[in-house]
Amino acid sequence: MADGHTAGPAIEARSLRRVFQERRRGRVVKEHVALDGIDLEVRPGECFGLLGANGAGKTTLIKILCTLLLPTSGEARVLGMDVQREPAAIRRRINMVSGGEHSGYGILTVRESLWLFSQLYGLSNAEAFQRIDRLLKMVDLDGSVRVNKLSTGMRQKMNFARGFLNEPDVLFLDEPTLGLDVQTARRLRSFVREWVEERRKTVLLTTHYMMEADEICDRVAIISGGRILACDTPANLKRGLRQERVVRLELAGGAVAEAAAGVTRGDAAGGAARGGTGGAADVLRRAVQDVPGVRRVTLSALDGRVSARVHVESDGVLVQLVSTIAELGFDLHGLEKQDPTLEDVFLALTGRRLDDEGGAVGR
Amino acid sequence: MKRDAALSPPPGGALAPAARRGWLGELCSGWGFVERNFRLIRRYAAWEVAEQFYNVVNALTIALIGVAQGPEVVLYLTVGALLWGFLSVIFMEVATSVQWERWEGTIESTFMAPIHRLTFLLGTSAWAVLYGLVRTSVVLGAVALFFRMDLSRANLGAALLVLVVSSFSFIGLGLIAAVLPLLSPEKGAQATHIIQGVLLLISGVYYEIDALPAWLQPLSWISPATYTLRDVRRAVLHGATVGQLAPDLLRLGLFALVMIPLGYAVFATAERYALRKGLLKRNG
Repeated sequence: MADGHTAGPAIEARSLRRVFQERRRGRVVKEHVALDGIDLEVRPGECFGLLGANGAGKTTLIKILCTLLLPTSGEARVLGMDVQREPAAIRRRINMVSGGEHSGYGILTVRESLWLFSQLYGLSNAEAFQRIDRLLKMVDLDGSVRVNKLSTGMRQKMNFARGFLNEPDVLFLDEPTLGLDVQTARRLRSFVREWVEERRKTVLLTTHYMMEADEICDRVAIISGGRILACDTPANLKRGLRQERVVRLELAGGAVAEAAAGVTRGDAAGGAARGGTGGAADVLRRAVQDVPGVRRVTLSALDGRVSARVHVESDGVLVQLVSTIAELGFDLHGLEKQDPTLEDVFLALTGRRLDDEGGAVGR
Repeated sequence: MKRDAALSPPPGGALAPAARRGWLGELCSGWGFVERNFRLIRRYAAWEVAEQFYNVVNALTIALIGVAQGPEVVLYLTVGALLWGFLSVIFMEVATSVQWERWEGTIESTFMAPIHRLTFLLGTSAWAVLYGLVRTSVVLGAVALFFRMDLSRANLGAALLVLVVSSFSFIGLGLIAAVLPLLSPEKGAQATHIIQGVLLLISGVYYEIDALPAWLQPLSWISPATYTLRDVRRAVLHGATVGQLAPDLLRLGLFALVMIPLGYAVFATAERYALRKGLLKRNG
């Protein structure tokens, strides 16, 4: 299987575990389990998403698969090749784009930097410059700008171009659209999707933008605390929540200003997972949560208004819910039934929002 | 979704046929490091000129110390300054190669690239030798003009041969020192400076080894710079032939034969350690 022409999975992990140890004076003083027995299979030609909050283990997994980190135990294979025993053969067939990466020779131009990377992949000059020009056009980046003059978004565009230089069979995208404007992020997502479909390439994408995962991934695994909690197509994952109803309530009047300020401060934004602080936002969250038939509630605030996203067992709960809100002195400005999103799936599985550890909710 | 020509994936499959692999591919990749460093230096041209000016002045001030004792001492000190400059460039370029990758944020991309680690190390070493030769030649030219040196007795061919052979020994030393920034992102670079300082102290750069305290003198035997300096001085000051220099040339050759494979083996072991500990990450 060393040639990588395998009919099996493009990426495979079995009981993969990675523990980081902090040592002082030769003694282990702290252990952090980054991956806790990951089992995963990504099929050839699949765009596979790993959805998880910061610190969930996504980057650790990608680094192991990219041969930049050894697992503590377990097994990982890329294109049928073992990451520990055949790293050189794997490296010929993969590439990686990391979000927020400050990779590139600051004083050189983008084009020069990309050319230097192309030399590491053995591209001839003619082929390298042809690819670089196409990729720069694709990401809409001026190749004559020095790397140290690039904004965060432009730098990310360069990283993106670098990832495609060698036309990898498996591409690892670690938060690839971090720092990009919405339009560029969308453009790059569509490029990735098209690239996967036309070339039957494999992509493993880690993100905490659920929209990104929903838009381009064939399947998504939800990872938290180094464990995969669920893995399926986005549609199937959401279908699993369909027995629930999701309603969005727009609140105004009464203590809404105080509640909105509390939500903004984070008094209750974490929903069910967070302890209260006694503010108006927390009172609202607790009251809604205590309505029989309510499974979860998350509050958000925008322009001084409060919006509550409530998961209920059935439509019958709504009457009691509306009455509870009125008793608290809030006016109900709007009520909308919604389809579950991947974030709802994430919330249901982990008990917290995707942005609880500093990530963004979606774009 | 509307299709855009610029959005279309680039042509060609995985690597082949555009990519060169095998020894030619490795050679081209190795040369890529030489070219990368050249372009970086070219962009820092003003700094390079300033540094070269300092190197010339530094060599001159060292040589001027010997003016009162006569031209032979001036030449003795000049050879020390030139050789130390040359060997330092080789040692530091190789030893800090990993550290530079960390600072530039390219360590993951470089170490994930499908090239042999030896290609990375030898590419960096080739650059170090070329760069060191150019820098040393500039200083040599300036010092020779300043002192109107008489090199009629010098066997420059033999001196050059010593220089070439000793370059390989210093590459081996550099490879071992390059391991330090690999193992310790924070303290590795500092450690390479300490090694460089120890080599300066024990190798007899500006004085005879006899000037060292007796307990320190045995250390000079394990520094290839000791033999390089001794032989180049013999060739330049007394016109020693290759035959006369043969014993030290053999020692330097043996150093290289042992140090380069040893340096590579140590580097490979350290890389495995870094992979296990998760140390292959950029700084800043």
